[in-house]
Amino acid sequence: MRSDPGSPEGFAEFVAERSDSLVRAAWLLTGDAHKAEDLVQVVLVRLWERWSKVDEPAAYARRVLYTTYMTWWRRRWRAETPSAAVPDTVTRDDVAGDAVVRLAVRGRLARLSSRQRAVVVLRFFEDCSVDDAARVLGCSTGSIKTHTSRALAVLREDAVLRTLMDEGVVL
Amino acid sequence: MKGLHELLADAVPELPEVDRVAEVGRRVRKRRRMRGAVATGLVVALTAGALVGTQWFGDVREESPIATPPPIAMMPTLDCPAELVERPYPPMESEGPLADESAVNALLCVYGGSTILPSFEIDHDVASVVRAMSHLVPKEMWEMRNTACPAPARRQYQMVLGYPDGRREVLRFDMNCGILSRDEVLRYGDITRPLEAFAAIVRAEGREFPYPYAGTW
Repeated sequence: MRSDPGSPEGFAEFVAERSDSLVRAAWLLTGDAHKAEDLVQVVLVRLWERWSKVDEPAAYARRVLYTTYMTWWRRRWRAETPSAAVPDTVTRDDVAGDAVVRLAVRGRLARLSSRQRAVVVLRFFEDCSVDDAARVLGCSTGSIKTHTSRALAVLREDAVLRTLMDEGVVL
Repeated sequence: MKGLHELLADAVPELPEVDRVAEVGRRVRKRRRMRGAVATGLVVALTAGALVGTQWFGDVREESPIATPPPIAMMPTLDCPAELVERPYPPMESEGPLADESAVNALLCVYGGSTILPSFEIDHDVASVVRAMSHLVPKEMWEMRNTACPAPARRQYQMVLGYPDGRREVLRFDMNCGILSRDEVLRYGDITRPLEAFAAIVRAEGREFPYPYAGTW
Protein backbone atom coordinates (compact mmCIF):
# COMPACT_ATOMS: atom_id res chain seq x y z
CA MET A 1 0.00 0.00 0.00
CA ARG A 2 1.30 3.43 -0.96
CA SER A 3 1.65 5.88 1.90
CA ASP A 4 0.07 9.25 1.22
CA PRO A 5 2.72 11.94 1.81
CA GLY A 6 0.39 13.87 4.12
CA SER A 7 -0.87 10.97 6.20
CA PRO A 8 -0.09 10.99 9.93
CA GLU A 9 2.53 8.61 11.25
CA GLY A 10 1.25 5.09 11.68
CA PHE A 11 -1.96 5.74 9.77
CA ALA A 12 -0.90 3.84 6.62
CA GLU A 13 0.10 0.84 8.74
CA PHE A 14 -3.26 0.89 10.51
CA VAL A 15 -5.08 1.01 7.17
CA ALA A 16 -2.97 -1.85 5.80
CA GLU A 17 -3.67 -3.94 8.87
CA ARG A 18 -7.31 -3.17 9.58
CA SER A 19 -9.09 -1.82 6.53
CA ASP A 20 -9.78 -5.26 5.07
CA SER A 21 -11.78 -6.34 8.10
CA LEU A 22 -13.49 -2.93 8.21
CA VAL A 23 -14.56 -3.28 4.58
CA ARG A 24 -15.85 -6.80 5.14
CA ALA A 25 -17.90 -5.68 8.13
CA ALA A 26 -19.12 -2.70 6.07
CA TRP A 27 -20.17 -5.04 3.28
CA LEU A 28 -22.16 -7.18 5.71
CA LEU A 29 -23.86 -4.01 6.94
CA THR A 30 -24.64 -2.51 3.54
CA GLY A 31 -24.71 -5.52 1.20
CA ASP A 32 -23.05 -3.40 -1.48
CA ALA A 33 -19.37 -3.11 -2.39
CA HIS A 34 -19.56 0.58 -3.37
CA LYS A 35 -21.42 1.58 -0.23
CA ALA A 36 -19.08 -0.50 1.90
CA GLU A 37 -16.02 1.19 0.40
CA ASP A 38 -17.58 4.61 0.82
CA LEU A 39 -18.53 3.87 4.42
CA VAL A 40 -14.98 2.79 5.23
CA GLN A 41 -13.56 5.87 3.55
CA VAL A 42 -15.74 8.07 5.75
CA VAL A 43 -14.47 6.19 8.81
CA LEU A 44 -10.84 6.52 7.73
CA VAL A 45 -11.18 10.24 6.96
CA ARG A 46 -12.60 10.80 10.44
CA LEU A 47 -9.80 8.74 11.94
CA TRP A 48 -7.11 10.62 9.95
CA GLU A 49 -8.40 13.93 11.24
CA ARG A 50 -8.38 12.77 14.88
CA TRP A 51 -5.41 10.42 14.69
CA SER A 52 -3.27 12.24 17.25
CA LYS A 53 -6.13 12.41 19.78
CA VAL A 54 -7.39 8.83 19.48
CA ASP A 55 -5.99 6.32 21.97
CA GLU A 56 -7.46 3.18 20.45
CA PRO A 57 -7.80 3.63 16.70
CA ALA A 58 -9.41 0.21 16.12
CA ALA A 59 -12.13 0.79 18.72
CA TYR A 60 -12.70 4.33 17.46
CA ALA A 61 -12.94 3.16 13.83
CA ARG A 62 -15.40 0.46 14.78
CA ARG A 63 -17.62 2.90 16.66
CA VAL A 64 -17.59 5.39 13.78
CA LEU A 65 -18.31 2.60 11.28
CA TYR A 66 -21.48 1.53 13.07
CA THR A 67 -22.77 4.96 14.03
CA THR A 68 -22.17 6.26 10.49
CA TYR A 69 -23.93 3.22 9.06
CA MET A 70 -26.95 3.81 11.30
CA THR A 71 -27.05 7.50 10.36
CA TRP A 72 -26.69 6.83 6.64
CA TRP A 73 -29.34 4.19 6.69
CA ARG A 74 -31.78 6.68 8.14
CA ARG A 75 -30.83 9.47 5.73
CA ARG A 76 -29.91 7.89 2.46
CA TRP A 77 -30.88 4.29 2.10
CA ARG A 78 -34.32 4.28 3.62
CA ALA A 79 -36.06 4.36 0.26
CA GLU A 80 -34.41 1.13 -0.80
CA THR A 81 -36.39 -2.07 -0.60
CA PRO A 82 -34.56 -5.03 0.82
CA SER A 83 -34.43 -7.83 -1.70
CA ALA A 84 -34.90 -11.39 -0.67
CA ALA A 85 -32.96 -12.64 -3.65
CA VAL A 86 -29.58 -10.99 -3.75
CA PRO A 87 -27.95 -11.45 -7.15
CA ASP A 88 -24.75 -13.39 -7.05
CA THR A 89 -22.40 -15.11 -9.41
CA VAL A 90 -21.19 -18.51 -8.37
CA THR A 91 -17.58 -19.15 -9.29
CA ARG A 92 -16.31 -22.44 -10.64
CA ASP A 93 -14.72 -23.23 -7.30
CA ASP A 94 -17.98 -22.92 -5.44
CA VAL A 95 -19.44 -26.00 -3.94
CA ALA A 96 -23.14 -25.85 -4.81
CA GLY A 97 -24.16 -26.18 -1.18
CA ASP A 98 -21.89 -23.38 -0.07
CA ALA A 99 -23.33 -21.08 -2.72
CA VAL A 100 -26.86 -21.85 -1.55
CA VAL A 101 -25.94 -21.09 2.05
CA ARG A 102 -24.14 -17.92 1.02
CA LEU A 103 -27.16 -16.68 -0.89
CA ALA A 104 -29.40 -17.60 2.02
CA VAL A 105 -27.26 -15.59 4.45
CA ARG A 106 -27.22 -12.55 2.14
CA GLY A 107 -30.94 -12.75 1.58
CA ARG A 108 -31.68 -12.96 5.30
CA LEU A 109 -29.29 -10.10 6.15
CA ALA A 110 -31.16 -7.94 3.66
CA ARG A 111 -34.35 -8.57 5.62
CA LEU A 112 -32.99 -7.40 8.96
CA SER A 113 -33.52 -3.90 10.25
CA SER A 114 -30.42 -1.72 10.32
CA ARG A 115 -30.01 -2.17 14.08
CA GLN A 116 -30.57 -5.92 13.94
CA ARG A 117 -28.03 -6.15 11.13
CA ALA A 118 -25.51 -4.09 13.09
CA VAL A 119 -26.01 -6.32 16.13
CA VAL A 120 -25.56 -9.53 14.11
CA VAL A 121 -22.37 -8.25 12.46
CA LEU A 122 -20.97 -6.96 15.75
CA ARG A 123 -21.76 -10.05 17.77
CA PHE A 124 -21.25 -12.86 15.29
CA PHE A 125 -18.78 -11.47 12.73
CA GLU A 126 -16.70 -9.26 15.00
CA ASP A 127 -17.21 -11.58 17.98
CA CYS A 128 -18.12 -8.73 20.33
CA SER A 129 -19.65 -9.46 23.71
CA VAL A 130 -23.12 -8.12 24.53
CA ASP A 131 -21.50 -5.40 26.65
CA ASP A 132 -19.10 -4.34 23.88
CA ALA A 133 -21.88 -4.31 21.27
CA ALA A 134 -24.00 -2.14 23.58
CA ARG A 135 -21.08 0.25 24.02
CA VAL A 136 -20.48 0.54 20.26
CA LEU A 137 -24.14 1.11 19.41
CA GLY A 138 -24.81 3.27 22.45
CA CYS A 139 -27.74 1.24 23.76
CA SER A 140 -28.52 -1.07 26.67
CA THR A 141 -27.43 -4.70 26.90
CA GLY A 142 -31.11 -5.63 27.06
CA SER A 143 -31.65 -3.97 23.71
CA ILE A 144 -28.73 -5.90 22.21
CA LYS A 145 -30.17 -9.19 23.49
CA THR A 146 -33.59 -8.38 22.08
CA HIS A 147 -32.20 -7.44 18.68
CA THR A 148 -30.02 -10.56 18.65
CA SER A 149 -32.96 -12.79 19.40
CA ARG A 150 -35.15 -11.16 16.75
CA ALA A 151 -32.38 -11.22 14.16
CA LEU A 152 -31.71 -14.92 14.74
CA ALA A 153 -35.44 -15.57 14.37
CA VAL A 154 -35.32 -13.84 10.95
CA LEU A 155 -32.31 -15.94 9.95
CA ARG A 156 -34.18 -19.07 11.01
CA GLU A 157 -37.04 -18.20 8.66
CA ASP A 158 -34.85 -19.41 5.83
CA ALA A 159 -35.22 -23.16 5.35
CA VAL A 160 -31.53 -23.72 4.60
CA LEU A 161 -30.31 -21.78 7.63
CA ARG A 162 -32.98 -23.29 9.87
CA THR A 163 -31.81 -26.78 8.93
CA LEU A 164 -28.21 -25.87 9.66
CA MET A 165 -29.20 -24.38 13.01
CA ASP A 166 -31.45 -27.29 13.98
CA GLU A 167 -28.79 -29.84 13.07
CA GLY A 168 -26.28 -27.96 15.15
CA VAL A 169 -24.11 -27.29 12.08
CA VAL A 170 -24.36 -23.63 12.90
CA LEU A 171 -23.92 -22.81 16.53
CA MET B 1 -18.81 -27.56 11.81
CA LYS B 2 -19.33 -23.93 10.94
CA GLY B 3 -20.25 -21.13 13.22
CA LEU B 4 -22.30 -18.10 12.32
CA HIS B 5 -19.02 -16.20 12.10
CA GLU B 6 -17.86 -18.41 9.22
CA LEU B 7 -21.22 -18.17 7.47
CA LEU B 8 -21.07 -14.38 7.62
CA ALA B 9 -17.44 -14.32 6.52
CA ASP B 10 -18.27 -16.62 3.58
CA ALA B 11 -21.16 -14.37 2.55
CA VAL B 12 -18.81 -11.46 1.80
CA PRO B 13 -17.80 -11.52 -1.88
CA GLU B 14 -14.30 -10.77 -3.09
CA LEU B 15 -13.89 -7.03 -2.78
CA PRO B 16 -11.66 -4.95 -5.04
CA GLU B 17 -8.22 -3.81 -3.90
CA VAL B 18 -8.23 -0.07 -3.28
CA ASP B 19 -5.40 2.28 -2.31
CA ARG B 20 -7.31 3.54 0.70
CA VAL B 21 -4.59 5.75 2.16
CA ALA B 22 -4.35 7.71 -1.10
CA GLU B 23 -8.14 7.97 -1.34
CA VAL B 24 -8.43 9.16 2.27
CA GLY B 25 -5.73 11.75 1.58
CA ARG B 26 -7.68 12.97 -1.44
CA ARG B 27 -10.89 13.26 0.59
CA VAL B 28 -9.17 15.03 3.47
CA ARG B 29 -7.64 17.58 1.10
CA LYS B 30 -11.02 18.12 -0.56
CA ARG B 31 -12.67 18.72 2.83
CA ARG B 32 -9.96 21.22 3.72
CA ARG B 33 -10.41 23.01 0.40
CA MET B 34 -14.15 23.19 0.97
CA ARG B 35 -13.62 24.55 4.48
CA GLY B 36 -11.14 27.06 3.06
CA ALA B 37 -13.66 28.13 0.44
CA VAL B 38 -16.35 28.61 3.08
CA ALA B 39 -13.94 30.62 5.24
CA THR B 40 -12.94 32.73 2.22
CA GLY B 41 -16.60 33.31 1.43
CA LEU B 42 -17.22 34.48 4.98
CA VAL B 43 -14.25 36.84 4.85
CA VAL B 44 -15.47 38.25 1.52
CA ALA B 45 -18.99 38.68 2.86
CA LEU B 46 -17.74 40.38 6.04
CA THR B 47 -15.40 42.64 4.06
CA ALA B 48 -18.18 43.60 1.66
CA GLY B 49 -20.49 44.26 4.59
CA ALA B 50 -17.89 46.44 6.26
CA LEU B 51 -17.34 48.46 3.08
CA VAL B 52 -21.06 49.00 2.58
CA GLY B 53 -21.39 50.01 6.22
CA THR B 54 -18.56 52.53 5.88
CA GLN B 55 -20.20 54.07 2.83
CA TRP B 56 -23.61 54.23 4.51
CA PHE B 57 -22.29 55.95 7.58
CA GLY B 58 -20.37 58.52 5.52
CA ASP B 59 -16.89 57.98 6.87
CA VAL B 60 -14.00 59.18 4.76
CA ARG B 61 -12.35 56.14 3.25
CA GLU B 62 -8.64 55.92 2.95
CA GLU B 63 -7.17 54.42 -0.19
CA SER B 64 -6.23 50.81 0.32
CA PRO B 65 -2.54 50.11 -0.18
CA ILE B 66 -3.56 47.03 -2.16
CA ALA B 67 -4.91 48.31 -5.44
CA THR B 68 -6.66 45.15 -6.63
CA PRO B 69 -7.55 42.22 -4.40
CA PRO B 70 -6.42 38.85 -5.73
CA PRO B 71 -9.10 36.90 -7.62
CA ILE B 72 -10.96 34.40 -5.45
CA ALA B 73 -11.51 30.93 -6.85
CA MET B 74 -15.19 30.16 -6.89
CA MET B 75 -17.46 27.30 -7.75
CA PRO B 76 -20.07 28.58 -10.19
CA THR B 77 -23.71 27.65 -9.79
CA LEU B 78 -24.64 25.46 -12.73
CA ASP B 79 -28.07 25.09 -14.30
CA CYS B 80 -29.25 22.84 -17.08
CA PRO B 81 -29.99 24.65 -20.34
CA ALA B 82 -33.70 24.41 -21.13
CA GLU B 83 -32.95 23.18 -24.65
CA LEU B 84 -30.28 21.25 -26.46
CA VAL B 85 -27.68 23.45 -28.11
CA GLU B 86 -27.57 23.29 -31.89
CA ARG B 87 -24.80 21.26 -33.45
CA PRO B 88 -22.46 23.70 -35.23
CA TYR B 89 -22.02 23.75 -38.99
CA PRO B 90 -19.47 23.72 -40.45
CA PRO B 91 -17.49 22.06 -37.65
CA MET B 92 -13.93 23.09 -36.86
CA GLU B 93 -11.34 20.35 -37.00
CA SER B 94 -9.30 20.76 -33.85
CA GLU B 95 -6.72 18.39 -32.38
CA GLY B 96 -6.50 20.31 -29.12
CA PRO B 97 -8.46 19.62 -25.94
CA LEU B 98 -12.21 19.78 -26.28
CA ALA B 99 -12.48 21.89 -23.13
CA ASP B 100 -10.20 23.34 -20.49
CA GLU B 101 -9.37 20.79 -17.77
CA SER B 102 -9.39 23.43 -15.03
CA ALA B 103 -13.17 23.05 -14.60
CA VAL B 104 -14.09 22.85 -10.90
CA ASN B 105 -17.57 21.42 -11.27
CA ALA B 106 -19.70 19.72 -13.88
CA LEU B 107 -23.43 19.23 -14.20
CA LEU B 108 -24.80 16.39 -16.30
CA CYS B 109 -28.19 17.27 -17.76
CA VAL B 110 -30.38 14.53 -19.19
CA TYR B 111 -33.15 15.11 -21.71
CA GLY B 112 -35.85 12.60 -22.55
CA GLY B 113 -37.99 14.03 -25.35
CA SER B 114 -39.18 17.39 -24.08
CA THR B 115 -38.55 16.47 -20.43
CA ILE B 116 -35.45 17.33 -18.42
CA LEU B 117 -34.67 14.29 -16.27
CA PRO B 118 -32.78 14.36 -12.94
CA SER B 119 -29.37 15.98 -13.29
CA PHE B 120 -26.18 15.25 -11.34
CA GLU B 121 -23.31 17.49 -10.33
CA ILE B 122 -19.73 16.65 -9.38
CA ASP B 123 -17.22 19.02 -7.83
CA HIS B 124 -14.02 16.99 -7.99
CA ASP B 125 -12.07 15.00 -10.56
CA VAL B 126 -13.79 16.96 -13.32
CA ALA B 127 -10.51 17.00 -15.26
CA SER B 128 -10.69 13.23 -15.74
CA VAL B 129 -14.09 13.60 -17.40
CA VAL B 130 -12.84 16.44 -19.61
CA ARG B 131 -9.80 14.36 -20.51
CA ALA B 132 -12.04 11.46 -21.55
CA MET B 133 -13.82 13.89 -23.87
CA SER B 134 -10.62 15.27 -25.35
CA HIS B 135 -9.29 11.76 -26.01
CA LEU B 136 -12.11 11.05 -28.46
CA VAL B 137 -11.15 11.29 -32.12
CA PRO B 138 -11.43 14.74 -33.71
CA LYS B 139 -12.21 13.45 -37.20
CA GLU B 140 -15.18 11.51 -38.45
CA MET B 141 -14.01 8.18 -39.83
CA TRP B 142 -15.69 6.42 -42.73
CA GLU B 143 -16.94 3.57 -40.52
CA MET B 144 -18.53 6.11 -38.20
CA ARG B 145 -20.30 7.71 -41.14
CA ASN B 146 -21.80 4.34 -42.03
CA THR B 147 -23.50 4.10 -38.68
CA ALA B 148 -24.18 7.78 -38.15
CA CYS B 149 -27.47 8.81 -36.57
CA PRO B 150 -29.01 5.32 -36.47
CA ALA B 151 -31.15 5.69 -33.39
CA PRO B 152 -33.38 8.72 -33.32
CA ALA B 153 -35.19 9.66 -30.11
CA ARG B 154 -32.54 8.35 -27.74
CA ARG B 155 -32.00 10.10 -24.47
CA GLN B 156 -29.77 13.16 -24.92
CA TYR B 157 -27.17 14.65 -22.59
CA GLN B 158 -25.50 17.99 -22.09
CA MET B 159 -22.73 18.71 -19.64
CA VAL B 160 -22.19 22.14 -18.16
CA LEU B 161 -18.63 22.78 -16.96
CA GLY B 162 -17.95 25.49 -14.38
CA TYR B 163 -14.62 27.33 -14.06
CA PRO B 164 -13.08 29.16 -11.10
CA ASP B 165 -13.50 32.52 -12.86
CA GLY B 166 -17.26 31.95 -13.15
CA ARG B 167 -17.14 30.94 -16.82
CA ARG B 168 -19.38 28.10 -18.02
CA GLU B 169 -19.13 25.81 -21.04
CA VAL B 170 -21.94 23.67 -22.44
CA LEU B 171 -21.10 20.41 -24.20
CA ARG B 172 -23.67 18.43 -26.11
CA PHE B 173 -23.65 14.64 -26.33
CA ASP B 174 -25.62 13.82 -29.46
CA MET B 175 -26.40 10.19 -28.71
CA ASN B 176 -28.25 9.64 -31.99
CA CYS B 177 -25.23 10.54 -34.09
CA GLY B 178 -22.40 9.73 -31.66
CA ILE B 179 -21.05 13.27 -31.71
CA LEU B 180 -19.82 15.34 -28.81
CA SER B 181 -19.60 19.08 -29.44
CA ARG B 182 -18.47 22.24 -27.70
CA ASP B 183 -19.21 25.30 -29.78
CA GLU B 184 -17.84 24.45 -33.22
CA VAL B 185 -15.37 21.77 -32.02
CA LEU B 186 -16.51 18.17 -32.41
CA ARG B 187 -15.45 14.76 -31.16
CA TYR B 188 -16.49 11.38 -32.53
CA GLY B 189 -16.33 7.76 -31.44
CA ASP B 190 -17.49 6.22 -28.18
CA ILE B 191 -18.91 9.33 -26.57
CA THR B 192 -20.26 7.28 -23.68
CA ARG B 193 -16.72 7.10 -22.20
CA PRO B 194 -16.83 10.54 -20.56
CA LEU B 195 -20.36 9.73 -19.38
CA GLU B 196 -19.05 6.52 -17.81
CA ALA B 197 -16.23 8.49 -16.17
CA PHE B 198 -18.79 10.93 -14.76
CA ALA B 199 -20.99 8.08 -13.53
CA ALA B 200 -18.04 6.42 -11.78
CA ILE B 201 -17.30 9.62 -9.85
CA VAL B 202 -20.92 9.97 -8.71
CA ARG B 203 -21.12 6.32 -7.68
CA ALA B 204 -17.79 6.49 -5.84
CA GLU B 205 -19.41 9.12 -3.61
CA GLY B 206 -22.08 6.58 -2.70
CA ARG B 207 -24.79 8.38 -4.64
CA GLU B 208 -27.34 6.51 -6.72
CA PHE B 209 -26.90 7.20 -10.43
CA PRO B 210 -29.77 5.91 -12.59
CA TYR B 211 -28.09 6.28 -15.99
CA PRO B 212 -27.76 4.51 -18.31
CA TYR B 213 -31.30 3.13 -18.10
CA ALA B 214 -31.40 -0.58 -18.91
CA GLY B 215 -27.77 -0.49 -20.03
CA THR B 216 -28.31 2.07 -22.79
CA TRP B 217 -27.07 5.63 -22.56
